[in-house]
Amino acid sequence: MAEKKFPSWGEDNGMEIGGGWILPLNKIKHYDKLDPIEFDILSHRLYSIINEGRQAVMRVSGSPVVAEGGEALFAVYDPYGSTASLACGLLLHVIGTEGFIREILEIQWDAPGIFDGDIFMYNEPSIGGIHACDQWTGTPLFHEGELIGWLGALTHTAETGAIEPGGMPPSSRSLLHEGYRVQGIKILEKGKLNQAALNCVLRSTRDPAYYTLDLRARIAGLNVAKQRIKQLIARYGAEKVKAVMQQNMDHSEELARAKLRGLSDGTWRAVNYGDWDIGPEPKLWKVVLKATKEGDELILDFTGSSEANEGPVNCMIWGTWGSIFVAIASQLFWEIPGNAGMVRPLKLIAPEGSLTNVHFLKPCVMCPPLPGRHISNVVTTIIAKMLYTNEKYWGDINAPWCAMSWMGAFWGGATQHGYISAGLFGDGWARGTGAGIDEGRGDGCDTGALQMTIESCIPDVEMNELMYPFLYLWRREEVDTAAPGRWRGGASVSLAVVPHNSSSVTIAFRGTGKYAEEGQSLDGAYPPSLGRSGPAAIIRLKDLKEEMAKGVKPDNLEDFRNYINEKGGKFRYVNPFEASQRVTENDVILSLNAGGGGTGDPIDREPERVLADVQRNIFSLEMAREVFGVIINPEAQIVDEKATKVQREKIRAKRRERGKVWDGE
Amino acid sequence: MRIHYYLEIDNHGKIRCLKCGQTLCEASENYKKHVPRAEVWPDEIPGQHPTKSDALVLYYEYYCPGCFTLLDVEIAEKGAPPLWDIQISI
Amino acid sequence: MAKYIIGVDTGGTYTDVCVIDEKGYVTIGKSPTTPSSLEDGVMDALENAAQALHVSRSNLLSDAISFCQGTTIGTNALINRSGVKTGMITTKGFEDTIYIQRAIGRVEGLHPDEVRHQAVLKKPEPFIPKRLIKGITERIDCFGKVVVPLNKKDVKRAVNELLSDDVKAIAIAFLWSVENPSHEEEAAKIVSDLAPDIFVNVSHKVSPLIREYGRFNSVMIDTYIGPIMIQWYKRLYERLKQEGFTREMLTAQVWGGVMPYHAMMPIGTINSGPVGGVLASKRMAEILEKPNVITTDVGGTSFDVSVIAEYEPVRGREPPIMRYRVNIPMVNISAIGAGGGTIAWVDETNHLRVGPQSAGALPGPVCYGRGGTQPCVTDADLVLGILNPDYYLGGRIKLDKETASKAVKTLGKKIGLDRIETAKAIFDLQNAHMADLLRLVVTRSGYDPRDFTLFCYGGGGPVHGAIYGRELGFKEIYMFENSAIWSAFGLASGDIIRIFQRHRYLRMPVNVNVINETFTELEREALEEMEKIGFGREEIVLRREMSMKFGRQVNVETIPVPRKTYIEQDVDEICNTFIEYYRSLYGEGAAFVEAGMEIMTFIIHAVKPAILPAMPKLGLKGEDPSHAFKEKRDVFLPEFGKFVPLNTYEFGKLKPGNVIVGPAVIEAPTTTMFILSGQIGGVDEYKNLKVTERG
Repeated sequence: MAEKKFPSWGEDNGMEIGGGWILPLNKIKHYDKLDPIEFDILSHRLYSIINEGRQAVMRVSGSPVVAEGGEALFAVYDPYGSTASLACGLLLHVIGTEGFIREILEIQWDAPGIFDGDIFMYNEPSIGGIHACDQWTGTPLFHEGELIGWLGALTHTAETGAIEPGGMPPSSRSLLHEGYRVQGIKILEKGKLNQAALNCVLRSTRDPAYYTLDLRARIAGLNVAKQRIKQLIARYGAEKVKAVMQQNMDHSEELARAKLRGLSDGTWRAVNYGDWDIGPEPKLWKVVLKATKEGDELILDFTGSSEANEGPVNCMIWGTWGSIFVAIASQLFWEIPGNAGMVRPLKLIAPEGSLTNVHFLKPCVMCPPLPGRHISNVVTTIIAKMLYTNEKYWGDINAPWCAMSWMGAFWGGATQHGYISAGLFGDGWARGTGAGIDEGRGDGCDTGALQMTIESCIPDVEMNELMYPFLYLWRREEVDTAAPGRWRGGASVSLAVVPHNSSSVTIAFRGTGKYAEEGQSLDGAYPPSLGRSGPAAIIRLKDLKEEMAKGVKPDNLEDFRNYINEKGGKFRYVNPFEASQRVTENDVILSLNAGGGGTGDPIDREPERVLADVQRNIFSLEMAREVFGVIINPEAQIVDEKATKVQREKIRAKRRERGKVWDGE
Repeated sequence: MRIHYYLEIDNHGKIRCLKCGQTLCEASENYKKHVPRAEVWPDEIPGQHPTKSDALVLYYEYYCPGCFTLLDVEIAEKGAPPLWDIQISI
Repeated sequence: MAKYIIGVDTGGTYTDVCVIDEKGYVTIGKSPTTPSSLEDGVMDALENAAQALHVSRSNLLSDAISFCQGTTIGTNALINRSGVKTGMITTKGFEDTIYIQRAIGRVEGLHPDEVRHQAVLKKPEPFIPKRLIKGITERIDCFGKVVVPLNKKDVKRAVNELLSDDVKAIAIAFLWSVENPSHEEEAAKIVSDLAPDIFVNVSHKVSPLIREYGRFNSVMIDTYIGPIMIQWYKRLYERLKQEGFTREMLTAQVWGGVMPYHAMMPIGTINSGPVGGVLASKRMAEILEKPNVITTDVGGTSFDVSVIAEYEPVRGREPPIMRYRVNIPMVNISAIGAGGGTIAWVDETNHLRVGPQSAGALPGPVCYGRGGTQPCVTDADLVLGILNPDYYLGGRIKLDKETASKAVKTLGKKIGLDRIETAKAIFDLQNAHMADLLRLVVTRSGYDPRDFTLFCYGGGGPVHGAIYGRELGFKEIYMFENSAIWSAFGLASGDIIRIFQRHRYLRMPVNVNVINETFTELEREALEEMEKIGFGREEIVLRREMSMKFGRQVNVETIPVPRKTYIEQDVDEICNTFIEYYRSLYGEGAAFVEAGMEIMTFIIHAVKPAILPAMPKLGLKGEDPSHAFKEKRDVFLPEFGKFVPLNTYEFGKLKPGNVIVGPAVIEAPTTTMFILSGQIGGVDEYKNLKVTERG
């Protein structure tokens, strides 16, 4: 991480910080260890408090991604900003918010000073968080004048006054295009609202109500947690509460190192590709990872990754850390309590200027999906391979989860209720997860999750239709999105929506997968695809609503084609990224998602399973035949065993015929 | 020691197929350089894939020379050397 | 002429009967549950109760004025996947709704530790296979406007396909049917015309709220178990009638009431055991005049907590049934795996853990002698001396203290603790988990434990209640002798309740006439329905609630509202009540009043209060409890860190007015009560034990 000397007043010195004082860093790190039972009870209690804070944020929020998708981070930090305990739906943010606290300490300790009841605001991606959508609010915890920690709450707000509505403008070419950026100003000063500070944001966004509601949500969480921590201190004393924060981190570090020691030393490599930057032509870029494990340390080296993109498909260093964490916390260290201790055995090499560590003012708003997913994928891949080296962990091996998503994700305009708003279609969270192997989960989970959000939740169609000016034509588990393998990945969701009851609406697309495949599978499975309804498009159907009133409702690609032939209209295939454009009540917006990765050779998959897959509309008959080598009698709904044997031999023969050992060219 | 769904390093320090027992190479080598591989365009597989004219990367399929089990489908640029994805320290 | 009020709870292991006679005295009957034909167990338990009353079973039944049955049939049908073959007719394009499960189905109902294990999580399997889900061309929008008319040919085709696949029940679930039910109603009519014998269900009746995933799940479950429940209840009713029962048979409903079985909502019978416990607590709260109660039930496998506020059980938002999210108003019972049979173990990092796995009733704790080898909470309680090995379940089960001690010792060896230290650690961890859940439930509802009374029941409630009660600062902790048949008691005394809801999205300012009209309409519907079921209008008490939110928000909060014809000021009042309630939950600064307020749902509770004899109030007999003294026993006291000889008492011999100074153990046939030093236990006029802090 950033190698600047912190704190600038030295590790052996304390400091007066306005509302009290902060002890020296070295003093804080030395504490009286709690005995195992007391530690268990107190750390669990601390976690419950933090989780309560997160629940409060979720309940008050107006962002579907927060309220329903659980995308809120809530954490307690030690005085110097190390995350001591966290509750998050969104793994991206685990340690990325520590930078905010460090900067507050460094530049505000004296003027204006740090006081009880202050609540600070930040969303600067070069200091912490991931991109400007991520709003962090934090408050110091004082006990009898001593700063004993911080509380922080972070939510994604899908409207930031960027150059397009929806918070993540595809047309961004600079951090300056990506919306307001708040630099640690106090939104509450000693408990009182600072309206002028709030106005900085409210006058810079298209939907001030949205921001305010989420701000109140974060404040609610902070209120709740702060009160509970006070009660915890009253019950156990400040020394024990301080101790449990440090012991939490040391304990997690211990567990992480122990787990690494149990895996073989070695080097693993993985690459993931993307295919679009700013257009009009595709651009191939890649994330390259070389992971080296030695003893109890893991070095993640992204040397070889592409240079920074011109458009917003970039990560600043915190975005890279966050995306790494998604894989580490969910796949490798899942049983270890989440806090800063967990990442201490990890070392990151992210070359400056590469898309994993872009310079200040480079655009980076797409970071969480792009290249964030790619970073998570390559880390997931090397974790899976490492886990093979210890039988104990075979049950946890997962193929990469993340794959292409090509969606008309961002909208803006007038709602059916008359006010202006903007937002994000959260349906993309229902993605297939990666498959495991025999000792584990087997098949991936259909429409289960985005890897970065451990309690992924998509809104009900009715909720989106109540809040947004759209009507869904369909939302379904799309056929042939799951990666075919001996164990298949999970299928993902596809959807088609049309503007409804609105005078003016815009849609922006972001995606990959038209030119290069992103999602890898593991050990012989094929990569997942975007299904059979694609490519992503805006499909204009002449007089659509009038025709629907007569009983004509298109339900799939073929219906669209027939409709256009018979009544008029046209397909407009979109680029992977397209800036916001107006759409009318006759325009169907088609969004696609690829499924989770698979594991193992597809012709090893039991034919009965493939039959079940076909019956569940996960795979087409064509996929069953061509890739799995399974011949199914569609009327009788049974497997033709003889024909299957023949077909699989044919597939093997083709391999024999075309396989050639690499000759060094 | 297992290193892959289908591969292990045996007692003689060699990488071996778990299905058919075929020895592929030394553990210190990249197994992908010692097994047959084939170039496959993504749109050969059913589903929505980049067309041959659009695709910027393709698949390299790696097979066990003994039983022709598909060991890996690597997404790579055309002509790229095999990725050394597993390099255990012996 | 005797007048009996009967409540029956068919649990996993035992079927409990509670009979209240015309003087208010309670008689208990118990018999093992007979899983292959549950009604046999019911009749056996009734026989057991009749014997205790010195009457014949048919006299008991013919003299009964009310009979309420709670059962696990619905739950079992879901767990065993033994419901009827069900088809679904739904809006084309949304056939996968119950499969997508909003993605959240993957983690719903799981313990947070399980959720972290992302690499293995799976969704629960829906009860309707994909091939039995038929999409229909139709569409209604959020305003109730028909965007695509219902294609009746489609419906007919779908029905015929389902019939040829031999379905026994059809659930109809269209988008926005709660805003405009006409398509669901038309489709239902087509089904009934084509297949009059098929059980048909429509989603807008099962759950009149928006959010289709919960609603579709609700109609799926209601339909899947419906025919089985109806069949079983009919069978039971016939059996009862044969023996002379002449009245209305009632069943538990999961929103905190009972209903005549022929008008029940099948999905509402799920979880009737715990609901019965809440009903009993509500009744006892009314008797004791304690409007605000936290109920805690420590059973074999789980620790269940619920809240009663102003005498009303608090209901959950979007609660799950097992792992399926439903939109049924349900008494909010939070549960964790922290019961008497919860297993203590050592994890990979050499830390002692308690739960969430349980040894259940079979094999159960080591001390049950049924083959259990892993020490459980009950084993720790025994080793610490709290439980009397010779008096468990009134002596029916002899607890094997020696084997339990050995198991605890063996476990302790793994972490370098001796037998007693290990038992203490298990005890502490268990209590900490319970206190954590309790704290979470109480504070999450916006309440302060100091304003509430704590009720402890279930086999293990009174064992741990004094500890977690003190931990949270409760001023009054009640323990009940009858806590083992608490649920049956609740079922016997439950009010008849049906909840009527209407989704109506209104953004303030709303014309007050609209609010008045909506409530009037809903009340009319409620009274008509109750009349159809067989009650007179004058018997019904109506209560109103509204679910509201701030603009842009997703989640609603529900508040009671007065029942009257509103004028503008009343609406302002209601808004203020909402804001205040919001503040109490989320603190200052959380209520975003400027975003405007919105109404989402209008709610009516139609209640026919149960007519019960008063609970017998006994005269106070003086404080000295020594006539009930049993023996001195060494019990490990957590606050002293060592074994201390304590007084133990026989609950049955205690008299109202007696005061026991803690620390002490009081043994009843079906539960043990443990009070700490600094606490006193007073026996009240109803023979409940009330524990308070001294001084």
